[in-house]
Parts: sequence; C-alpha cells; structure tokens
Amino acid sequence: MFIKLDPLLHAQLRLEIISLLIHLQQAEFNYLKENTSGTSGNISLQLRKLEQAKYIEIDKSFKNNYPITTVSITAKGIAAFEKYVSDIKQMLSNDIK
Amino acid sequence: MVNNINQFTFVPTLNIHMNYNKIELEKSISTIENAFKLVKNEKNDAGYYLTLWGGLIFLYSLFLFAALALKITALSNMVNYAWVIFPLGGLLSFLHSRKTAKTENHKLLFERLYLYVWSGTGIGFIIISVFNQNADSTLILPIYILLFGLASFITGGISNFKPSLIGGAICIAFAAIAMLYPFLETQLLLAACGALFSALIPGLIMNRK
Repeated sequence: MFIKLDPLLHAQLRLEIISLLIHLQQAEFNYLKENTSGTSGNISLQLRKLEQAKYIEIDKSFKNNYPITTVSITAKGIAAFEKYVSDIKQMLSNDIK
Repeated sequence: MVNNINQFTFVPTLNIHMNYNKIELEKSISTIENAFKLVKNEKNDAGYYLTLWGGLIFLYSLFLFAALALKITALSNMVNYAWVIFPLGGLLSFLHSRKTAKTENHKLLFERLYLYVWSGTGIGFIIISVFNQNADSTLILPIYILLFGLASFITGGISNFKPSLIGGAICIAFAAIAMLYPFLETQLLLAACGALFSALIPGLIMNRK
C-alpha cells in the first residue's frame, strides 16, 4: 500500500508554520518569522499556498496604526496535519517492522 | 531450485515509502516536536491573572478571618471597606490586558479557555454578591469556594496543568468542608486556603516559566 504524504505539508517551511499554528489560536506574521527558518518573502509565499488550500485563514488589520497580518489554522488544516502525522507514524512503524 | 527461488522470483514488498527516505520522515517529526516544545515552554498570560486574583481573594479572606476571629478593633472597622480591593484588581487586570495587547504577537490556545472560565466565574461571584446581600454568609461562602475550585479544576484538567487541577480539587474539598461547618471564621479560612491552592500557587508556578 502506497501512502502519499500531503505535498502541502511535506515541505519544511510550510510544516514549521502549520506545526506552530496547530498549538495557537492565532499568530502574527512576525511571530512566524521569529520562530521559523523562512525569510519574509518565503513565509508570505508559503502562507498564500496554505491559504489557497484553505488550511489557514489570514486576516489583515491594524495594531497601533501599523498593518499586521494574523494567521490561524482552519479545521481543514487541523485535519490535514493530523492525517500527515498519522501517515508518517505509519510509514515509520512499517519501516521498523 | 527451491533454495534459489527468491533469486528468480519477484516478491512484492510493502515499499510504502519508496518516494520518501527515513531521514526525511524523521526530520518532519523533529520539526513537529520542536514546534510543540517551543509553544509548550511559552509563558501563559493567565499566570498573571491567577496570581493577582488568587492573591487578592487570599488576602481579603484572611483579613476578614483575622478581623472576626482575633477581634482586633482596627481591623473590624476596616471590614466594610475591604471590598475596594476588587475594583482595584479589576483596574490592574484591565491595564495589564491593554499592555499585553500592544506587544503580544500570538495567542496560545488555552488563553481563551482561561478567559471564559474565569470571567464566567467572576460574573457568577458578582451575581451572587449583588442579589444575595441579605442571605446568610455561611450559606453563600461555600458556593464562592466551590465556584473557584471548579474553575481551577476545569482549566487545569483541559490544559493539562497539574497545579491547577490539584489545587482545584483541594479547593472543591474545602467547599465541601465549609458546607459541613457553617461557621464564618472557619469558612473564611477555608476560602483563603482555597484561593491559595487553586489560584495563587498555580499562578506563581505559571509565571516562573
């Protein structure tokens, strides 16, 4: 049986982003930049891809008169992440057998 | 021929990760674990509010106990004004929330849990205080202690924070004792201890992170 990992999540930076968001209500762009290995441009690009897949929601607003981008994971994103983790565990356990 | 059958026979294997290597998969797991550790070690802002309100209720209850049990006149005269610390606590909470709103760039999952459970408990306290002014304090005080204990128990259980879970259970036990012993001094002492175990100590532990 061939398991195909979700290609959206099987990419280092996107996985870092989703792995953080799964534990948070929401995170600002700066928080993701501080705690992942991506540059601003790269993070923006990956966020757009995740948003297109409806794994995350992006909200643009203002705080202290500065524009901020806030990101939160969706139910679809949570389900995709859980499936991804489950698939990897299955593959690793089959490998051990 | 039987001994060499595998040499000539294709035996399909469960090569389920032929496109992924083990190192790649382990790196993914490592990425997920690192993110979990990062968020787990972050300071929960609830610690400030637990410490503040736990401390205020602890001091308030202890003060009333001292005034009643020790019968110190100076303290007894101040009893009618002691409630002032609660609006003061409200003001400090408001100022802190405004300060953190300016600087925080993420919200932990359990912050919402703590917010709704404890503010709901606070609303319960206010409703009981406002609409039961003529009621016997020995009947009302155990309910306060129980609400406090329940809030701590529920938040500790859901967020898997053992100090709140254990402190909440202790506070619930104190509420039961307070119902069995309807003496105001005893109940005030139990309220002080309940606030200590269910809010103040868990808040201080949370703040140490």
